[in-house]
This record gives sequence, structure tokens and C-alpha cells, in this order.
Amino acid sequence: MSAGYLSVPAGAVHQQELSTDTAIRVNDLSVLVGQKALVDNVSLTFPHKRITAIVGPTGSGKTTVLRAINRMHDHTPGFSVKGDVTIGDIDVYSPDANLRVLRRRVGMLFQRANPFPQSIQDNILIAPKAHGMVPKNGSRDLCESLLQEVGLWNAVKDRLGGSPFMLSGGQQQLLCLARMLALQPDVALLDEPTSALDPGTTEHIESLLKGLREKVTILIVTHNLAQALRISDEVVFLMAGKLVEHATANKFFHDAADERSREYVSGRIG
Amino acid sequence: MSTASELTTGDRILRAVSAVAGFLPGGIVGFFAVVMILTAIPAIAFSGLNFFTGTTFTLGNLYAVTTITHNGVTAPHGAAYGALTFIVGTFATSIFALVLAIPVSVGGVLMLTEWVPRRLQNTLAVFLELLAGIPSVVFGLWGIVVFGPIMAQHVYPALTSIGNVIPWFKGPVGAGEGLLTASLVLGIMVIPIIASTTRELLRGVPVLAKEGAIALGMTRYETTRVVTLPYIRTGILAASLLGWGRALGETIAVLIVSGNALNVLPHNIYSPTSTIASTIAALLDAALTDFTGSAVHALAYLGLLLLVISLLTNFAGRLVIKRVSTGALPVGRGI
Ligand SMILES: Nc1ncnc2c1ncn2[C@@H]1O[C@H](COP(=O)(O)OP(=O)(O)OP(=O)(O)O)[C@@H](O)[C@H]1O
Ligand SMILES: [Mg+2]
Repeated sequence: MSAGYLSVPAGAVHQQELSTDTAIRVNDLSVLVGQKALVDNVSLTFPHKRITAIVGPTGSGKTTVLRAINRMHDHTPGFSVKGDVTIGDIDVYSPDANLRVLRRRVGMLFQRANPFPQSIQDNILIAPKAHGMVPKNGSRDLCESLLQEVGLWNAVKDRLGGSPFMLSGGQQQLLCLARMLALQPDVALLDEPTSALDPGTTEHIESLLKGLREKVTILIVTHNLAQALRISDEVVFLMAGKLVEHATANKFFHDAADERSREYVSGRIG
Repeated sequence: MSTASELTTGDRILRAVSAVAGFLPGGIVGFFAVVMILTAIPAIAFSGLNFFTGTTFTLGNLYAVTTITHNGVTAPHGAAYGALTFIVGTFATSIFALVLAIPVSVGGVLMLTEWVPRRLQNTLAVFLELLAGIPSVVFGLWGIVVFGPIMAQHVYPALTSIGNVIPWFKGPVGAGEGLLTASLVLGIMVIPIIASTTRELLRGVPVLAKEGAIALGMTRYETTRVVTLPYIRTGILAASLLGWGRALGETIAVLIVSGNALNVLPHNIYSPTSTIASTIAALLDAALTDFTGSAVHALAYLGLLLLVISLLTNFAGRLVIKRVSTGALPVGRGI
């Protein structure tokens, strides 16, 4: 039924039931471009302090769902969002939602690295400074600890004032991860964070994410099913903008309810 | 590499045409420079350093029969070719114009793209192009008939209070012809150049980079500072230098609104002034009647100076742009 790599025992908590401790509630969410629905009436809950993998074929709407959670679609001309999203006490789509606070608490890592055209050090410090979160004289330490955390410190410690565009694509992505973590978010939206990384660095990031789970609700989009199996507690499977299945990782990979999920897991679609 | 025998006739024609096209711009500039230098040589000999230090520029008594001779060059009685007034006027008006035009155009375009709906932006862009197409003589007329008097009556008097801090702003403000009016008019003429380039540059800023800042809860202002400006800085510099070139050489509008000061340096920012370009235009008619021919040489010397200044600013600009743009991509200085 499952491909060989899937027989690796899941590193995640072996829960059989979906968590009832909800961090993010998504209700009847549709994302439209004109009349076309990129995400079609999706309702979901994401568990508190767990890792949820969002999987699905290319173009199935994974990124679109992720971007709906921190209201990034506000900034894309032609996009409209219906339905609602609640994160803790924040009603994300209420007209008086405080986007600054929302986005401080909900970090996002984009599918492609997008460092600021600023020095490596400033890439990390700019956002915390803007939010008044850097203690006086603490900027250097903050920088170092975050770069250590993502495993980038040794590569950049001699050129903190240099341009991030001199870094490799994977290193840039790590820098963006450090930049995101600098705001100590409650929720992390990660769009294929390891797709540009080598196996060793990927493993490092995966263990970092598992550690972060103590504090942070993590949503991770990935095409790497082995990775989803290794780190996720729950899996959300999308196809063509529709929710197909939401299950614990264990159930999704070994005993999915939907035929399409089983086909996807076995590599026959997607 | 293809050998000559493989070339078709078409290739050969293309080669010849591109060789000529490649040589042409350099050739034209070179030709201009040589002609200007040759024509200016008598004036260079006649005035020496006085050209750069003297403030008196007069063609002399063109109707008298007496002449003076200096360094072997004969000029009408009383002739003196001190160009300092024009040099100062040229730099003062053009730099002032830039100081006004850069923030207005860059700030304005940034504000528009952030706050105004796309449809309206395109309409405004059309107006910007119209503004760029207005002949400079119209700017000059408008400057002297409408703009200058209004400014002199209603705005400049208010500026005189700055004079307590910066003495140049002290009155009297005059009638609205002079350095400040000329700079303002020039500034308005330069705005379309800088603004339309800025607009193009803004389109080139990657959306993904801006989203990075937005996703961290940063405001539009912060996003602009942290992401947008570093991306467009070099381009704005280039556009400003283009604009500066335009302001340096602009003739007719300045001639009309500058108050045409011949032999005095401006004593405040409202004073009459004149630039190298406007002076050439103003005096050419009279210079042609100079029986010694020396007035024309003097104007050629002015022209040569303008050419050199333009080339220098151009080269300096290129150098700066090269400096700034090496190092892969732009890096700013934090928040
Ligand atoms: N600006 C846009 N205008 C119209 N359609 C869009 C736009 N951006 C994305 N889409 C469409 O939305 C759908 C979902 O895209 P999305 O980026 O969410 O997919 P994804 O699941 O993240 O894919 P991938 O795995 O390739 O990253 C796709 O069919 C895509 O073609
Ligand atoms: Mg995607």
C-alpha cells in the first residue's frame, strides 16, 4: 500500500484522533480570483502547538490557503477572500483586525527566499526593531542566537554586514527563517521551507521545527511526503482547491479514509 | 567565430552599418568638441583665468572703432569675458532645481503608487507625459506671467523668515524673476524625467521582497524604506543625473524667468541670475555684429564650458552608478 520510505516509523506523536486543542479555525474559506475559486469552501482546524503538514499536488491551493491565514491576499490585486479565520482571540478577517499584531504573531516563510536588500544582520533585526522587541545592546546576541538556531551562524559570522544576496539560495531561505523566528511568533506558516536545502540541513531544520513545536503552532507545506511523515502530527490534503482529507499523520499515511489520499500517498497522483 | 568567407552580403552590410552606428555618437561628440575648442581658442587667449574668476561679461562697445588687444587677440573697446556669474547661475539653478525635483518626484510617485488606485495612476501618468512634452518656451512664459509674480507676492515673503537661519533667504524678494523662480521652473521641467523613471523602477521591485516585509507586520512606510528604496536607489540616481543634464542645458525658459543678470553674482536666492546657456542665447545676436569677431569666440568659450560641464556630470554620474551598483544587489542601511 505504501512506498518503502513510508515504513519509517513516524517521529511525531502517535495520536489517532485529531487534536481538539485548536489554534487556528478556518471556516468556509474561499479564495477567489474574479469568479474562479482557487480555494473552495475549506473548513479546517489547526491544532495548537502541533505540526500540521499541508500536502497536495502542484497548484492544489496549498500556498493560497497559507496566505489566507495572515491575510497576504489583501495585497494581491484581484484576489478576494470569503469565510473566516480565527487565531486564538484574533478574528483575522474582521474589519478592525490589527494586521500589525496579527503578522507579528503569525510568521511566514515564503516558497522562495526573499531576504531584504539590507545587510544580513539587518535582515534579522529590522522587524524586531520595528516592533520594539530588541532590548538595548541586545541586537548582536539576538542575531547570533537566531543564526545559530537555524544553523547559519558559521557560514555568515564573518560577513554580518554583507549582502544576503551573496548567500546561496538555501542559505537565503535559512536567513528568512531566522528573520521570521526573530519575532517569536505563535504561529509559523512555512511554505516548502526545505525544498532548496541539502539532506543534512533539512534534517537540522526538521529537528529545529520539532523543538519549536513546544512553543509554536506550525503549518508546513511540503511536497516531501517522507518529511511530512517524519515531522507532522496532522496532515491536510488538498486537491484542486478543495479539502480532501484532514487526518492524523499516522492515519493519513497508513490508513487514509479517502481513496484519493491513498493514491496520493502511494505516489499514483500528484 | 565565422570567417570572412562565410559572411553573406547581408552580414557585411550589417557589419558596416553597425560599425558606422557605433562610431557615430563618439564621432559627433568629438567633432563638436574640436570645433568648439578651435572657435574658443582666441577667447581663451584673450581672457585667460579671468574667464573663471571675473564677473563682468561685456562684449564692449560694438559701435566704437577703437579696439583693445590682449595676448594677440583683438576685441572691441571695453570688452571683458568673465563668466563666473553664469557658472554660478548654472550650478545654482540646476542644483536647486534637483533639490526640489528629486523629493517631489520620488516622494510623489511613491505616495501615488501606494495610495492611489491603479486606474487613476495611469491617468496621472498621462499627465506626467504631457508635462514632459510642454515646450520650454511655454514654461518660460508661464513662469514670468503667472508663476513668478504669484510666488513673489504670496510665497517668497513667507520664505524670508528662513533668512534668520540661512542668510540667503533674506529679502528683498523682487518681482518674481530670478534664481529661485528659475530653479522652480527648472524643477518642474525636470520632475517628469525623474518621476517617470521612478515609476518604471517601482514596477521592477519584486513583489515577493515587499511581501516579506508585509508578512512581518511592517507598515507601508517601513516596507518602502527597507525594501523598495534600496532596490530603486541607483536608478533614481541615474534619473537625477539625466535631469541634471536637462537643467544644466535648459536655455529658453531660464532666459525668460531668470531676470538675466549680467554682471552681478546673486546676493540672495531671489536675485536675478543668468546661466551659461541662457547667456549664449541672449547675446548671440549682438555677438554676430562684433566686427572683431571676438564676441563669437567668447560665446564659443561659454559653449565649450557648458559642454565640458555636461560631459563631466555625465561621467561622474556613470562612475557613481557603477560604484553603487557593484556588489550584486543593493543593500540599504537598516531602518
Ligand atoms: N495570481 C493568480 N491569478 C490567478 N490564479 C492564480 C494566481 N496565483 C495562483 N493561481 C492559481 O491558484 C492555484 C493554487 O495556487 P497555489 O500557489 O496555492 O498552489 P500550490 O498548491 O501552492 O502549488 P505548488 O505546490 O506548486 O506551490 C493554481 O491553480 C494557480 O494557477
Ligand atoms: Mg505553493
